[in-house]
Amino acid sequence: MLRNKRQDTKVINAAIKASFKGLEINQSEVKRIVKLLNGYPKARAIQMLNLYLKRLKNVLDQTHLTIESSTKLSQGELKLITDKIKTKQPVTEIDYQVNPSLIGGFKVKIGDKLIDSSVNRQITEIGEAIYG
Amino acid sequence: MANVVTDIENQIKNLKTKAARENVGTVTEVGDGIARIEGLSEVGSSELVEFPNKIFGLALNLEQYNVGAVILGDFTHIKEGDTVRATGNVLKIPTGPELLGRVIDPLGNPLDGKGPIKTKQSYPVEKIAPGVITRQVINTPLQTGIKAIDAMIPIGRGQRELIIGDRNTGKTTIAIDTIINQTDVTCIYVAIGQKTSKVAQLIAKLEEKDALKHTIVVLASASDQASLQYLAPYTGCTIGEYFMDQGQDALVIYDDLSKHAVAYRQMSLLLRRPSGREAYPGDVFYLHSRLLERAGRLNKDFGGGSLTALPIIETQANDVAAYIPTNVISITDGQIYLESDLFYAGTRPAINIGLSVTRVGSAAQTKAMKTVAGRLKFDLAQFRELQAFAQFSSDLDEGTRSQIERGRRITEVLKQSPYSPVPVEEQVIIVWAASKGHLDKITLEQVREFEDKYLQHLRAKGKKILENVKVEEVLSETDEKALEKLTDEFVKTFNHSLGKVKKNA
Repeated sequence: MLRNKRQDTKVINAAIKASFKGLEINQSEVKRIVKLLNGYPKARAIQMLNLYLKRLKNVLDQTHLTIESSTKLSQGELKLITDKIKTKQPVTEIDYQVNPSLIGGFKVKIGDKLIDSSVNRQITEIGEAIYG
Repeated sequence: MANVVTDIENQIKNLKTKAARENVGTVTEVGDGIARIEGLSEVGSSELVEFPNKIFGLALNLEQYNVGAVILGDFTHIKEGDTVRATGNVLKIPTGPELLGRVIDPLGNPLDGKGPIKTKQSYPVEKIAPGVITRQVINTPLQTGIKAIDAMIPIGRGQRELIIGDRNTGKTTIAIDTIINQTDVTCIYVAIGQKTSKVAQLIAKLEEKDALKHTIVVLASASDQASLQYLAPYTGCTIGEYFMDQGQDALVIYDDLSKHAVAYRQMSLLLRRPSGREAYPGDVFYLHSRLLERAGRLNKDFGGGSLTALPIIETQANDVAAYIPTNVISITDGQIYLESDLFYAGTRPAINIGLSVTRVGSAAQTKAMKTVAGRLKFDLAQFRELQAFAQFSSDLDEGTRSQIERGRRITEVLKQSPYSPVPVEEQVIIVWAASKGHLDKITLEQVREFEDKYLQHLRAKGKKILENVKVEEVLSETDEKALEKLTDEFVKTFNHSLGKVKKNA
């Protein structure tokens, strides 16, 4: 059982490595890997596919940039933020949404890192300072 | 109104808000007080994480792609996809003298309806135990007010003495008696997985005996989540440590660690940690050892404070060889073993003297008690052996019979009603009287009555002797002679008043 698990992890690690061309995802390779994993006995295939997709999502998330702002930002402003982030970390995908609940400012999330400069957070901070 | 505005202005005067860089994750699974979180790659072990709606959790399992956290609050409000934030802090609880007389939950929130608690300080719940350099030997007694314990199984300040026994054998009563008997020691009673009604009764009893003013009750009842039950003893210990750091003496009672281990087992199994013996996780020993190791006595350079721990373990069918009891026995500096057979035979407190030990407490016993109780344990052991032997033989020699009779009287003297601790000087005198044979002329049925009246008599006529024993902590030769005279006179009067003077007296 333990040996199987170790072997599976090795296979998944290799599959993840093969799924990317540099930072970009290699879609045809991903399709081939999914087909390959599907060929395992059913129970193992479910487990392996689950693990593979989770890992794939995890890796993709690391370069997935999400920007939220209270009002619509211009292309120039978005580019400014993206370029600044790119100097620190690679970015492959960008998501942008307007979120009025932020009141002012913006929020940037990449992987599991969040930079929050929204007015909403600052108000919460002031509230915490008053109420303790 | 102007005051309120000034207050608020003062509070936020030095506050500088700026963009925050946070480590976040997403809830992928939640249930039974446990959440699995993806992300949070920078979170530390035992770090506090924040869920939406100000619900907090403890990150306990740090795995390759996810984090397992226990939720310290109502987990029904947390849903899949919620964002979780790492706080960068370990769990801290408010502590200070403001907690005295209060009932709190393991996170420091009041449960007694007496309003909010405004403390000036907070301490981390998990802390490394004081090292060897900071400690000193245990040399000051912690008087429990229970004759059998103070005479034969003495507890020192900074000691860890386990109270072990089956259900309904008087374990909690010993703990509560000890709290009632304290005057200069801050007590913390930690109730883990107990019925709230039982805890309410205990609090009422402490209030009635005016002992709540120096006591803090930490409550994680049976209906609370396993995470809170797991946390409760650490909270109690942290509060005790605060008083120890102030150079004061504190006593913490963990009632009980069996339920604590069960709560930890539940958490560990839900976190999918590998299970071992009796399905407890592998670190269940460390769970208790790191808690009890925090008790101790600091040396003068570090304030000289102490934290005494009285953990309680409930056994099943008197089995002290089970997993958790043996673990805690090996961690502590001795144990008070309570037996249900003794309890139902009327020996209360039902302490089995043979199986109860104290490893460091005898060094802390007062000289007076050490002198009078020196042979007590040995005499009682001999008495029990002779008593067993006497069951099979009808005619015994005079020596054996008198030894059995004395043993019976000593056993009777060591019996005590609950919630009525005896001051140490009175304990010394009554133990002295019993071991010197002054009670031999009293019938067994009259021993309790004799004790009450004898002590009353002493309080009136032997005030000086009692005072000397209390202050000087020794029973001097002159005092002993005076006591001998006083006792002889009283025994005569007592027997005479009952009209039961023995022929050979």
